Amino acid sequence: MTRRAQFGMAMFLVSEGVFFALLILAFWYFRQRANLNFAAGAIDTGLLLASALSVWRAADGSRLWVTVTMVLGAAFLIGQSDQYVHLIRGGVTISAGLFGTTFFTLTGMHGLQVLAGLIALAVVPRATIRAVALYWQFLAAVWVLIFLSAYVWGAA
Amino acid sequence: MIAAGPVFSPHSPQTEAIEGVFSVVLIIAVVVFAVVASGVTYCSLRFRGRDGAPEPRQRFGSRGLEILWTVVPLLVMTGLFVITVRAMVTIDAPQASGQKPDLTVRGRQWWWDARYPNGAVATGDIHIPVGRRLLVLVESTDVIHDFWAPELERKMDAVPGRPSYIWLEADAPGTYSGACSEFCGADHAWMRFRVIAEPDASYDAWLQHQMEPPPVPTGAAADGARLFRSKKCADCHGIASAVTAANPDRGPDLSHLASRELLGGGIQRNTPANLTIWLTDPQAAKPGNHMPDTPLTTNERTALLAYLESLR
Amino acid sequence: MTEWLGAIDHKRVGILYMLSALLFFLAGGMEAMVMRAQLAAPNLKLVTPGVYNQMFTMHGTTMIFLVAMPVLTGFAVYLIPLMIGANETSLPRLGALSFWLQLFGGFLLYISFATGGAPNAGWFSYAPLSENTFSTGTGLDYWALALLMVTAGSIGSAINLIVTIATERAPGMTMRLVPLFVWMTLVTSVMILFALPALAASLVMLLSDRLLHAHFFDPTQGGAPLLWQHYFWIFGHPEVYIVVLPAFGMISEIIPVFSRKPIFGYPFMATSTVAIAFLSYGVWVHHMFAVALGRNFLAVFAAASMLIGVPTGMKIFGWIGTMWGGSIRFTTSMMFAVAFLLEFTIGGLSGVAFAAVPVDWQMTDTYFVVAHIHYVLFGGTVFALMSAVYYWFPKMSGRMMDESLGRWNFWLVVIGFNAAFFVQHFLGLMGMRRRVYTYPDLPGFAALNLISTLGAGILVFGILLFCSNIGMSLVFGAKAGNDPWNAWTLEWSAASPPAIQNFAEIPQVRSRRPLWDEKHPEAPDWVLAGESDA
Repeated sequence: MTRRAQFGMAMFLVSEGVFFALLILAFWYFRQRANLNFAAGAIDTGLLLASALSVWRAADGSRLWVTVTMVLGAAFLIGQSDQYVHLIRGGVTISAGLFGTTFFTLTGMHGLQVLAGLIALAVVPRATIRAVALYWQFLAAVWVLIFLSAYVWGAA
Repeated sequence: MIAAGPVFSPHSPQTEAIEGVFSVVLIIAVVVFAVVASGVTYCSLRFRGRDGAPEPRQRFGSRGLEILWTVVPLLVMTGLFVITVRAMVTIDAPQASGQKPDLTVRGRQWWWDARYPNGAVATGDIHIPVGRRLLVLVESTDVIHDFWAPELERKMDAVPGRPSYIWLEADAPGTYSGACSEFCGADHAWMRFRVIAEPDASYDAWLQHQMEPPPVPTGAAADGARLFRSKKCADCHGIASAVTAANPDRGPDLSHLASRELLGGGIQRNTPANLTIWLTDPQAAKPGNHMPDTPLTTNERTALLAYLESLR
Repeated sequence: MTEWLGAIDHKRVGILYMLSALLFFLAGGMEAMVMRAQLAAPNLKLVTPGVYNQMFTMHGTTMIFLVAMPVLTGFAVYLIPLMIGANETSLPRLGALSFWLQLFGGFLLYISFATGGAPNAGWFSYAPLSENTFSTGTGLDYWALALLMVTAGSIGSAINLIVTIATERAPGMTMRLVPLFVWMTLVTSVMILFALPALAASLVMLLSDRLLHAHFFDPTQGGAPLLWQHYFWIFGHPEVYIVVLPAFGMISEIIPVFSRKPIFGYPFMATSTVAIAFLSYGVWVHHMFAVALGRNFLAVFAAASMLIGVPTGMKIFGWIGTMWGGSIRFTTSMMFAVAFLLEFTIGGLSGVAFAAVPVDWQMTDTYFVVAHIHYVLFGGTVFALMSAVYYWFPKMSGRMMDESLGRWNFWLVVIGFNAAFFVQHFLGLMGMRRRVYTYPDLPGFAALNLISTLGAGILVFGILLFCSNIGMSLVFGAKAGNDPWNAWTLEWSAASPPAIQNFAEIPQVRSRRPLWDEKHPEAPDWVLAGESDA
């Protein structure tokens, strides 16, 4: 069953890959820039990458490492939400212009999926943790691309 | 009946090129369908089996045949591709760099108009000089429309924010119908236009006339002219050299309305009765259009009608 | 009833998909009849343009997303385990969930009629018309949300089918030995993984624009209407192959059995399917030939669009090659399969016409396109489905369908379909645009439109007969044994209908036609095929 679940998850990640690729492409297409907080973004990236490592340890089913991953993942989401608040207060909203349009849609879709991953980590049985770990690591990899696009390449 | 259709009565080098490609495609289609239909029919008749008949020889395939019916279609497609590209080059011949358009055609929910370099605006009827190839800029300021006069030119999508160019020419004088060819909302069905190709002399005269202001209105027409502003018609409808619309994108230009044959995006004859319907109940004239319902008394309507009829 | 609601068994889920698709087929058909009634004569006022625009939008959306995809998924979910000698799919709960997602998506779409109006911007909803500047009201929001649910269901069932085909095959059944329906289903499912997310991304962006006032597609704020078109058609073109390849798979099972010969050129049939799948991601711009995208750019896509006709055409020849030298039994199922060959060829040829860019520059957005799509989707997919229903109904229900009612069904459908749609080629050539709620009384328009409407009426009768045949045969049909057609693939060794556990004993497989081997121990396939030159 766990092999099938992992195989199924791998197939799901193919479709997720296409989904994010197109949203990232849209971000690149409009080539907008804004003053993002690079340091905060880097910290969030670090948190998520660390959680990708911890979820790898958690794949064996260890409850400790699952919890560590969830904590790191929650910290990532909190960091991102904080950045959202700052941007919105600064007038950069999803409707203010094309940067907001592409940035918030892309990171929003990513963030929602991280949230779904957190919930999955909390509720799935041990046998399927490995499949969820794959999903989690995929989201971390996508985040690296988003970070490079928005914070590095897109830096004002 | 096909011959009655515009695709097979081209009136420009561009549409002639298209008809040529289509004829090739038609021949290919007829031949291929004949081959398939004969194969199917022959098998159906010759190889009919009865219940209980012994199983036929179990054949699994033939590499030779497979190669044949891969290579032959590939060759046919290659030939078709070459013909296609040659026609594309004819139809979409390159422009000289920096060439300015000879006219700008604009689609707007739900009418077409043309703007000429001398400033003239023509709604619905687009006049062109016969026998000359014109560079036309096709644009839209709201949704995607498509400019299509099938006897004269290829379809070109009018994408807002993305000016597009076509070559437009007519090889003989005449009136050529066209219509919007990309679904654009409630009245897409009625977003029609005409291209009227004329010899140079009458074209020049028409163009000159389009620029001229209308005659000064008198009597009831003068009242109508005042009402035209006070009832806010001028918010949306411009009239050459007489009225500058506040928001010219919102309503069609009414220059020389009285000398136009058709109204409403090419859907009604220009008669006082039809004009009155627009003044009384725009939704009855063209359901779904954007013209607001302005309450008018009968006298006001009569005056406005007189004014509109004076716009020769 | 409750056991159906909680069903996980692949056979139950398959039937749920089919019933749901039938329901939506009738809804989509009614939408079509409203349109054909309105177009029966020029300048009719049976419905307002507002209503008409909802009709054509809902008709297209329903038929593609709530009929074609689900019914093909239903057949796949039902048949794949049986064909590969398995007792269940790999991820049955995912399979069941996928069905309910699709069904609820359908309900969400149809609720829009009651909440202020159904979506009305066409089944591919071009921007900026689809933005809320021009499409006020909630119709398009329901459309986007409903399709997101349907997309999720589609991807879910595709995952289930891929994992099943990859991991549950009977011993000895390598991928080179699976039935062609299994190949087509596998390829289709992989295509779904790569195509449906493009739709999801597009819908997310559209909802962003509509609900959160983003500007992806709003040119007044720097957005790009063409971005919608590219992303939608990157989904949309593979999508049309997604709804036709499984039909090809069905035909590839049915024609051999009724010709009493194996499929002609199995390796080419399988390989050409993979070729079509790859090529289908490289042709999407042919839906945008009328946009000023640059001649060289368009030429590349013209070449690819012509190229994709080659692997498709070779299948037609393969099916004819199967019939050649056979001993053909003209059951109703076979009649639909043979009609499919002719109808799909016509549809494919009009498709080749569109690949020739200059022809597209006249014919796109006219009734010529409407003719093309109906020849491939109805003459293709639906005819194959009718053939498939007559063929597999005995397996699924344990009863035979009535053959004389089937004949009436067949002829009414063939006559009605061709009368309705062949004339539309001419209407397109005569300049009638698509998506118009009425038309002026130009020469020939009224007569041809009337013929089309009358043909559609006849087609409706044929479809009603089809439904009656299904209903009556379920109750009164002659009992079918396990293998009423003397067929060769594994599903015919199970009971009709199969028990919850399909196979008491998982068979060992040595060739593409395990039951032929059993019935002909003196000349099994693995000997015969070895002697042949394929």
